Amino acid sequence: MFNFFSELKKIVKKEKFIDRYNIVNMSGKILYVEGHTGLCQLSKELITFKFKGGVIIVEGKDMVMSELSETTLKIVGEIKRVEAL
Amino acid sequence: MKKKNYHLFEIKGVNQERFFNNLVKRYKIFELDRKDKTHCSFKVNYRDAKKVRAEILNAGLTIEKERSKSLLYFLTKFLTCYGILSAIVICSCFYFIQFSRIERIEVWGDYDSELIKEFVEQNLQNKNKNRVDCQKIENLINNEFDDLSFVSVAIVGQTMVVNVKSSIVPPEMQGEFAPIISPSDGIVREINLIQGTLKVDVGDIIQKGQILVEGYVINSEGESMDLQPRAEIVLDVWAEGESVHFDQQLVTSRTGNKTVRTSVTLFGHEFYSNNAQVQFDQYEEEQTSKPLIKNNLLPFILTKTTYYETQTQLVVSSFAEHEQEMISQARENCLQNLAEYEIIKDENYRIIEAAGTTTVKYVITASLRVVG
Repeated sequence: MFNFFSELKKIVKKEKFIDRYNIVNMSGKILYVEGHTGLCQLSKELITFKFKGGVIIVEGKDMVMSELSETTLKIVGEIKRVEAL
Repeated sequence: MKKKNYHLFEIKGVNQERFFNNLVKRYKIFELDRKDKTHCSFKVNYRDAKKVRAEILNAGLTIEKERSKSLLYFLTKFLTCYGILSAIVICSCFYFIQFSRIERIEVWGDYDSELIKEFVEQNLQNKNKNRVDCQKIENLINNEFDDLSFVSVAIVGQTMVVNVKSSIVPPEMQGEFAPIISPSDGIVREINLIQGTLKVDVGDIIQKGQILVEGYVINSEGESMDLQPRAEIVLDVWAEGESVHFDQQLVTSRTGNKTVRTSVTLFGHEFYSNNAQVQFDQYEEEQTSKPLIKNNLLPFILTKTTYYETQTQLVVSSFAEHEQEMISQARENCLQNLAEYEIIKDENYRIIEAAGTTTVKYVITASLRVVG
């Protein structure tokens, strides 16, 4: 089966930072994240989590952490902004 | 995707992010909803609920509410809260399922029960009680076994009871009849014939095994008709016993001295002995053997041989001194030859003297009743 992330990684394999995290934003309603290393802040309007070498801030409205495992998470709600610092 | 089997926790406390970061290392979290800074709710797999509860309490958080949704939870809850009720329901279901079946077949009566049981099992196509036709089984047994006079089949609880009775053949139809035979030698004193043909008369001397009454009669037309001989015949019988007295006799007795020799053998080979030497001129020996150790690996046998010293003396005694004793002994010997049911009518003895010996012969005359 076609793997979108694997194909992308093959194209830009020279870049070292490529394995840090992956984020998929689906129409601003669902946000899927791979490669997080822990939650920093959690609320309905703001969710912050760490990745290898930085922090990702997700801002929105009525956000719920639909799934949370050691490296992946899925946020459901109205996602307004995703920012990596 | 909605989680079907889950356990919901609503917790209260601070620093929840750190708690969740630790928790997700071991358990997966769903529907994590932060209501405010100190309150949040989340779901975990039902099977992890117990461990997650312990983690929450260890982290110093407070559980405000819990709720489960799973089949296993439902069953556990039902059994816990409605224990007796659920037991009754489960038992009732089990009872109704199994009660409608025949579990055992019992055969009562004086016939070969295994044979009938096997036949019924072969012909019992369905073990459902409602579908078993007892009348049909009765007819099948009746047709199969000709020597049965009565068959009844009934279902009692889960047991099929087959009651049978074998046909009774009257004695006249059973064939030849055994005659009444004399159990011992004697003289016929009294006869009371009920049926049969008498072969002896009062005063006849008869031998053991002689026929007294035959199992037939000759009717008025001269035909022989078999029947069971019945009669009561009284016989006079004799029993004899004797005792012998010796005027001089050599009597061997133990002196009390003894020597014990002990040896241990393995597979018949002796490898230990106390080498006790027997110093006696005359002796008797007794030997006992027993296993030295209780195992089958090395069957050591301990053998103990005891040598008793003996001496022989010449004992001289006259018959007159022991007459009554010898007569009593002869009577005892005579009584041993007499059957228990015989009635003693007369008894006498005679003394026969020979060179160095005196013999007492005792005779008892008894009455014996032969009933057939």
